[in-house]
Order: sequence, then structure tokens, then C-alpha cells
Amino acid sequence: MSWLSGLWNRCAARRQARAAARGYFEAAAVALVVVDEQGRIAGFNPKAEELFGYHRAEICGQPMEVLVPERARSAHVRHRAEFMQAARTRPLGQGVEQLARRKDGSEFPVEIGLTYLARRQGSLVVASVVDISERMRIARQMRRTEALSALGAVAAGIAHQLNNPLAIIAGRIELIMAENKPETMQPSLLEDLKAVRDSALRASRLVQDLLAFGAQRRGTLQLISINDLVKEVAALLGDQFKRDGIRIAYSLTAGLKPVRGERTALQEVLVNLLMNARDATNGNGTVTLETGWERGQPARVRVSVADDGPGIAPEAMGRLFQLFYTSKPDGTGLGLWLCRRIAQEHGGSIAAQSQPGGGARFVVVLPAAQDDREGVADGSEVSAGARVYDLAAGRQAGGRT
Amino acid sequence: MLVVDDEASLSETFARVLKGAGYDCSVANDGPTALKLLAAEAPQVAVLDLYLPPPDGLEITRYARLHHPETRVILMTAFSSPAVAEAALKAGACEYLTKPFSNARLLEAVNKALSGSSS
Repeated sequence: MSWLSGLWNRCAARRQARAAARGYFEAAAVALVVVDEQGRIAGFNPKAEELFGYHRAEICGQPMEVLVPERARSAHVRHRAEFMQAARTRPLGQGVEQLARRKDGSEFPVEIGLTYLARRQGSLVVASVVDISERMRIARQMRRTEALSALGAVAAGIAHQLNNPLAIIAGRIELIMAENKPETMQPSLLEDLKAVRDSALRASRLVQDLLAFGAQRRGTLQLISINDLVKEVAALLGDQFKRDGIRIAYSLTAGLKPVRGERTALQEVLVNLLMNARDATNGNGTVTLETGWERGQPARVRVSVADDGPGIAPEAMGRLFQLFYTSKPDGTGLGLWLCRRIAQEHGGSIAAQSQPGGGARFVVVLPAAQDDREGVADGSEVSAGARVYDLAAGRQAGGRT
Repeated sequence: MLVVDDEASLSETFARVLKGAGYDCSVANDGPTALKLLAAEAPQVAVLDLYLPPPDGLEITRYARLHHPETRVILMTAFSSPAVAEAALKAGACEYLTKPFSNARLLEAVNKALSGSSS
């Protein structure tokens, strides 16, 4: 009876191998679509169900071209026939990139690797399908960033050369005005001098923005406590704000996860927003810096800059972040555009909120670092959220939250 | 006072502003001359451009902190950024100014530096 037990063992081994193969197929981290010689779908793993939106019960037995956009189906049938005539394994990464179609009709770019399985009962092709939308989005963004970087470097070079002549013009005009008594000068001359000086100062603001636009980012990412960032920037501008009669209040939520980012770039965003808030308050008001968690998954943190100025005009709302759009008479239209670019480079976003007569609020949302094991402590000594602190005095104050 | 900027016309402008406010003022247009004047005149305040051919404004500031601690340093930068401001203050400058600035702003910074040195 030993032949019988041998047969039994061989059958059991085959069953185990089939079960294991099924397990691998089901558990694969990549979408797998099995296609028979006639081009019909013979297998569809859970990842494929997730990617295409079909249940395997409704897709198996259908021609695989249902997964291809309609306009590309006839070409795909030809390619498939050619492939089956000279079938070979084509690994992922060497495969073609093409568009695929979900059940809902939406299209997305994919990379496809093919594995050919020759069997007596008919050959099979296993297609590994990877959604490359994100990869292509990043590549597009990188190309755009590189182009902007080159443009920025040129702009910064020119801006740097312009800075000293502008400083000389503004400085000398002021000297002429200081060294000559106004009553000894013709009124029209005084007006002309003021116009030249103001134009030089306006041009210099454009230079500053161009330099920021062209600042070469080193791309050094680090874990940053958003509360620490707020305090660094507030400390940096504190004196200037005090001189301008503006109070900085802040409402920091303790225990926020850090963000992974470029410190200088994120500081730049806050400096820009604070300077805008300062201009909006027109020399008398409060600018509130707030941090907190943003709802939803994955975890995101928020930093907002609010002012109690007149708010944003409805017609300006949709255009605030456009390049060269400005609602200020002496603005350059680079600042908010740059803020948005930096926020997006960090995988985040920026939005503006305005209540007529109730001030404006700019909210930057950034993804919290997934892995914060480097352990950036939240250095906030402000322990409770939603309380307003007077930064200069370091004490709790009443007012807006 | 000592004003240092490699753009002669600019350092001359600042010197005139300071002289107009009643301060004695020397001018240097490069780092080595600035170091000599620091040693020879021990100015109360030095107004330095950050971007000079070596030694640049930051190096001169660090040198001044070590060898002439009585001199308060104001750094001028062509480009205002938090990183530049941080580097300026770390090097020992008591104030930094972003060019161009008004003559009144220069005088305000000098007065602030002087009140800091007397306290």
C-alpha cells in the first residue's frame, strides 16, 4: 500500500502548494490581474479590486480590455496578440506605462509588469499593475520646481544687483531732504524728491520678494515643532511689530506632532503672513498666531495667522495666491504665491478666510511627520490650547482666540 | 562710528547721515581696512555690510566681539530672511537692517546700539 500513501502525499503536497500560491496571490501588495490565452480575466486579487473598483465575481471571464480606456482597446487587443506570439516575462520597471480605466470610468496612469506562465491546460499571463499617479504628480512637480528654481536664480541675481543702487537712490534723496530746509525748496521739487524716494523703496520691496522667490532651497528636511517655529518668527519680528504698535498674541496647542520640512522655507511662510497681517491692521491691532490639529487622516497640523483688519474683499478672495496678484498698492504679488508654493512643496496647503469687517485669517496645513522618532519635543511652554498669550509680556491675556 | 560697505557711494551716504546727526564717522570699503579702523579708533558702533569680500560682515562681527567687545555691531543685509537674521544675531550683532532702509531707521538702530552699550 506504499504506492497509495505516496500518491496521497503527492496530492497533499500539490494541494498545499496550490493553497500557498493562492495565499500569495491574495496577499500580494500589488494589483495582480491574471489573463488567459483568449484575453479573458482569469484572476483578480484584492489589490486589483481596490485599484479598479470591480469585484472579482463581476470581472472574471470578461475581456481584459474592460480595464483599458475605450479609445485604446483595439490597439491593446493587437498588442496582446503580439505578446502571446512571443510571450516572455517583462518585469515591472521595464514595462510600459499606459492608462487604465476604473469601473467608474475614471482613468489613471499605470505601470505594468508581465509574467508568462506556460501550462498544459492553457498559458496564463499575470499582469502586475501599479498606479503611478502619485509618482507622475511628483515628477511633474519636480520639473516645475526645477524650472522655477532656474527662473528664481536669474531673478535673484538681477535683484541682488539692483539692491545697492536702490539703497543709494533712497538714501541720497532722504539726505537732500534732510540737509535742505523744506521751506527753502520749491514745493514741486519736494514732491518730486518724495516720489523718487517712494518709488525706490517700492522697487526695493519687489527686490526683496524676488530674492525670496529665487532663494535656493537646500532641501535639508528636519523635524520641526510648529510651535517652536511660530515662536522663532514671532521673536524675530517682535521688535518691529512693537514699533508699529501691533500686538502679537498666540494660541498654541501643546503636544502637536512635528512636521518634516525645511525650516527656512517654513519660516519664510510665517514671516510673509505676519507681514501681510501687519499691513492689514494698519498700525493698530492684534495679530494672532494659532496652532492646532487639523481634522482627518493622515494626521495634519495647522498654523494660522489672523488679523483684526478690514478683511479680504470678496473679489480678491479667489485670486490671492495667483502669481503677481496683489491687493496692496505697493505689493508685488509674489508673497502669497510663494507661501502656497512652499506649503505645497511640504505636501500641505494654504487657505484664506475672511469675514467682512472681522479680519482675515490665513491657515497653513501641513502633514504631521509619520515617523517622529528623532524626537523633536514640542518646546511649547504654553500648556493649554485656545488661550491667548501676550508674546511680548509672556503672560495670558484676554481677547480673541 | 564706523561704516563699512564695499559700495563706496552707499557707505558715503550712511556716513553723511551719521555725521548730520552729530556723530564722528569713519568709512571703510573693505574688510581689512575695517579691521584696522576697529583697532585704531575703537568705535562705539560699527555698521557693517554682511556681504563683503572676505573677511565678510559676519567674520568681522565675530572678530569684533572677541577683540573689541566695546564696539556694538549693526549688520546690514541685502536680503532679509530669518536665516540671515539668525546668523547675524548669533555672530554677535545687536541689530540687523535690511537694505534699503530709511535714514531715520539707521539713526534709530545706532541710538539703540548706543543705549545698549551704555547700559
